[in-house]
Amino acid sequence: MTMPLHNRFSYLIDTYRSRVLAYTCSLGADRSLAEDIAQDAFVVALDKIGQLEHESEFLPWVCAIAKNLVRNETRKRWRRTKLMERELHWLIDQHSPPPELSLQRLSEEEQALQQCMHNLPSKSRQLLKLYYLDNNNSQTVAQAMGLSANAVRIALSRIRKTLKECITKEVSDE
Amino acid sequence: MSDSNVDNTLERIAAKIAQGEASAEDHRTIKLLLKRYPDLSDQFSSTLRRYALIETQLVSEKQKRTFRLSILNRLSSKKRTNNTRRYWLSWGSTLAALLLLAVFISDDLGTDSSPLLVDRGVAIVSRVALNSSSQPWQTGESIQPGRYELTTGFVELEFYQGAKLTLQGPARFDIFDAQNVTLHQGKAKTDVPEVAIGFTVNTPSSRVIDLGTSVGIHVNAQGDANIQVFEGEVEMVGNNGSSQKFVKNTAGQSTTLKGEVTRKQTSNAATFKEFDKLDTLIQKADEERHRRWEKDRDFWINDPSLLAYYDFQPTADNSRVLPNIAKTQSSDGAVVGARWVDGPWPGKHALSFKRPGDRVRIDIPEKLQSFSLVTWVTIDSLDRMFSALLLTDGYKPSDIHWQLGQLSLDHGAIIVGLKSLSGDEKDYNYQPFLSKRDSGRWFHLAVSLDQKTQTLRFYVNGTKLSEQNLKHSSSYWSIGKATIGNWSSQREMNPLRVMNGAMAEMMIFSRVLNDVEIEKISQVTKYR
Repeated sequence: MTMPLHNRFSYLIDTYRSRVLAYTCSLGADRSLAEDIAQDAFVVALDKIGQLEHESEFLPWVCAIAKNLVRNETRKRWRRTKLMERELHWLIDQHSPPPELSLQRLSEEEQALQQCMHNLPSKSRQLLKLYYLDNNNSQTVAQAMGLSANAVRIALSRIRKTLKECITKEVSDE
Repeated sequence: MSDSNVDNTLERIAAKIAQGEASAEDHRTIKLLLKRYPDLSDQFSSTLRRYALIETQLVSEKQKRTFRLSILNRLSSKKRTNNTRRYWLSWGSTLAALLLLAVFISDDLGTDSSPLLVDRGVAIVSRVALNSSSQPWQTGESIQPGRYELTTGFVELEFYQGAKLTLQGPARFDIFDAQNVTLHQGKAKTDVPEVAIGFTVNTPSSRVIDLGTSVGIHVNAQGDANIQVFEGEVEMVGNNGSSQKFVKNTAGQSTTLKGEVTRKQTSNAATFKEFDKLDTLIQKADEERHRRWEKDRDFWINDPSLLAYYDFQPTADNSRVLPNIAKTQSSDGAVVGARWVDGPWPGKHALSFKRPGDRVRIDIPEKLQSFSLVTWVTIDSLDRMFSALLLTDGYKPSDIHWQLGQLSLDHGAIIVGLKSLSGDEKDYNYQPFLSKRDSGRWFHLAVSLDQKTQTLRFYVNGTKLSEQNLKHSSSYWSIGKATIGNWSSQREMNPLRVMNGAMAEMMIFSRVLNDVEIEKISQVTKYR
């Protein structure tokens, strides 16, 4: 497939961004650390992409890099500030399934999430769009929907839980 | 703490970590819990992953773009540092780099704002003659602005403004738009009609502005450019701003540029003589590909699990029959409407499906436990929600539907629909597959269903891209009377699913082909 490197890279980043971030989070990294680490992992992987024979190897590879980076990062933080993520990562790492199993689950979960989103009531979808996709804060969303900011926060929390339960159900059915 | 309290606490804290809102207290709590109940680690990690997936999927386009650009910028500066000496020797190359970056960034911004499907290509690959299977160039594909490398052989590009550029490997070049390219190293020959006058080839030492000509340009490893006018007129501008026009004279004319337009020398026709052999090379390459394809075909015919093999080579006596060359009792296909066209190369035929009636009727009576379906297609465009590859009549229990879908504005999907004997149905999708600029490109697609492991696998050009667990099992699957390239529904209102494209091969196996076999079967796409 001929594709300028730049476009190929964009395609790989867009395709796998969410899964790499979610995987990094599941190792016990908080959201901002996960963002940094996922970006670092993509840079390392894309810089050496010539070593890969098939695109199918890309996701496991970039996640393996992310896992090492989480380990290194939390080790550094442990030395410096004894931040909590290090121990959390260690606790998860001791009992977590092999990475390939996590990635397999992630792929299924990503597909299930699309279906679960589709099943949401239209009002919930509108709320998600205003808050997440349009990148508004809960106050702005509240004004747009004629609700209080607190009601928006509660509703968002419920929707997240509904989606998570729906994903769990979908993948356990499969 | 009761079990339900533990579960609730895990759930609450996982959601907060995924949102980036967990407090120190939350971290202390979760660590205490996991130390006390180590078995909950996997559950917590899964919950965290699912919440994180929700948070990371639900982000604005702007956030996605920021994430992407941050990575690309870091890679770009990394590459620049590594390649400084090689690439950024002259103002010409620096200008080229800036132009290229501008194209990249505007391209990136453009992807988010436009709801329309756009073709960002500026040229198409019109012909290739390559002697290496590792090269990705494919006839008919659209080429976007970017940096390219051709290691060996020839590639001929037709630019949207009308200019033609033939490159001989090894060559490194950048394409900015339909009128501007930079040749960093290698040989190229232009063919510029009147409508494309002004087509410009930058080199590290000059700009070559084509004023309606055919010109050969050779840039050596030091960045020096040798330019030969074959026909018409060309203007050359050196790095020092000196400019000179050249027309062909009887002896031919060539100029070597080292930062300025300096001297003329007698034409060295030998430098570009290989370009005259292009037609012969392409013909030879096509013949070689055909020979290798026939060898592969003869190998697979002997596979006892091959129920049907439509090689899409018509018989001389009846062009409305699609021969099934597998050594089974399955019948030939009946061609309805679809027309014979050239396939991936002249001599390899294909059937074109365009009109609502175009289709091939087949009948595969066997009940299948496991199966593998393989096809070789090019899609002109995904015009409708579903474009059929192989669809059973209607959608009955045990039926298999294999089709492409337009589930998103900017890309398509490969969809396998399975309806179990008990009537439960589910579509299994792989996406993204096929964007607008893939029009004209040939793809080898395969799916396999493993009844033992209850998994379905998707392959594109021999690479496994997805493996999914079956949601509903069925003691067998069947094809029966079915249609290639269209759908024969049993409803009165038959939703149109004709595939807008062409097909050059379809194979149906009654077993799971493994990854290696599917890679082998699709190697035909790599023959050059």
